[in-house]
Amino acid sequence: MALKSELLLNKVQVAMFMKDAVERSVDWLYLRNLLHRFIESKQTFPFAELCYLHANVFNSENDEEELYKLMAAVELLVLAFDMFDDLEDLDNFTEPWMDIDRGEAINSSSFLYTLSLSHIHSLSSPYRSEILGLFLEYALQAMKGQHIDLANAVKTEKECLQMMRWKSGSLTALAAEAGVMFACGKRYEEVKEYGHQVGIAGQIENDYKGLFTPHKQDRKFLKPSLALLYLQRKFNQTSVDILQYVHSGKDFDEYFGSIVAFKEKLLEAGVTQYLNVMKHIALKKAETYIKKLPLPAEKLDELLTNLIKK
Amino acid sequence: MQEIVNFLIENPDILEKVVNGQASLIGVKDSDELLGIITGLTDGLKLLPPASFWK
Repeated sequence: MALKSELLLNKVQVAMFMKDAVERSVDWLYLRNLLHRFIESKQTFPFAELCYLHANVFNSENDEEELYKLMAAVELLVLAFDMFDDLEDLDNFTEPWMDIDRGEAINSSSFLYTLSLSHIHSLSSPYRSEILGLFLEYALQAMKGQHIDLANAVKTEKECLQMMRWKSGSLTALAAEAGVMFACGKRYEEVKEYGHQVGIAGQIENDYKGLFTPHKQDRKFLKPSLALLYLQRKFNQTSVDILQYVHSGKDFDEYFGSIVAFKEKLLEAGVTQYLNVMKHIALKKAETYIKKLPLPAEKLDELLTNLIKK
Repeated sequence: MQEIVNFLIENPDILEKVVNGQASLIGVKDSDELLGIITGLTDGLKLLPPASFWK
């Protein structure tokens, strides 16, 4: 996400604050360099941007340095969860944490997770206890969602959406709510709700893209997802064909001939349309909640421009 | 939502009536769902991120 408003987030600075947090906690150069490498691998900081957007929409006179510390904590938490996710799913082998000893990678994730919480504790914001409470609440929720995913416990569309709300929506809701809490010391039910919905929409998009990542295919497609649940209804012969491919263990280009042919099959089966509908429902729900916020029209428009109308 | 999407894919004439307000869908809870269905089935199927929160 690149902020469309006049707000300008300095991405280099976010990475710098993340590294600074590491430096303050790690005096052993080996571990420090390893964690710096992981931070440097991040090209974008969408959760920091979400936090920054909300802090500035709810208060235009924030302490910038403190805000960057908060954003660094948010991104450290998300980085830790990304690492845990890859290590648990055994995918994304291009990531630097998948290229090292597994024990070291797991310990690094735990370190970054704890560092994120400890970094909140070091804020001088009068709302740091409340912000820490948000981190703990949403981290637990995200872990619950992750475990449901890992256990393949999802059987229905409703359960899948709930899992996505916890696993992915929690982190977007956290970034938004942390920004608001930092800015004005309040919680808004609307922010919580649309924060989750934006996360669900993002996850649907990500899951769709994941269907075309060869090395992720066999494991990811077999895991319960909206796409798989739709296919399992076997509304048409193409769905049956795709299910056969899923269980074949082959890559899509090997099975269907090309990525274009595979995309056509997904369209023919209705998977693409279904995912698009589910994404747009999440976005419409988010839009409705944003419009309910007690904010001036220009502030609402700023949120809508950055979160929905992209 | 799976049945509704499949039904509308198989019956584009009904989708057109829904879009034009000439038909309503049973089982759709609110306007967010209805607008999501219409947008999702008529926006050219661009599964592009609203906001790229995910790498």
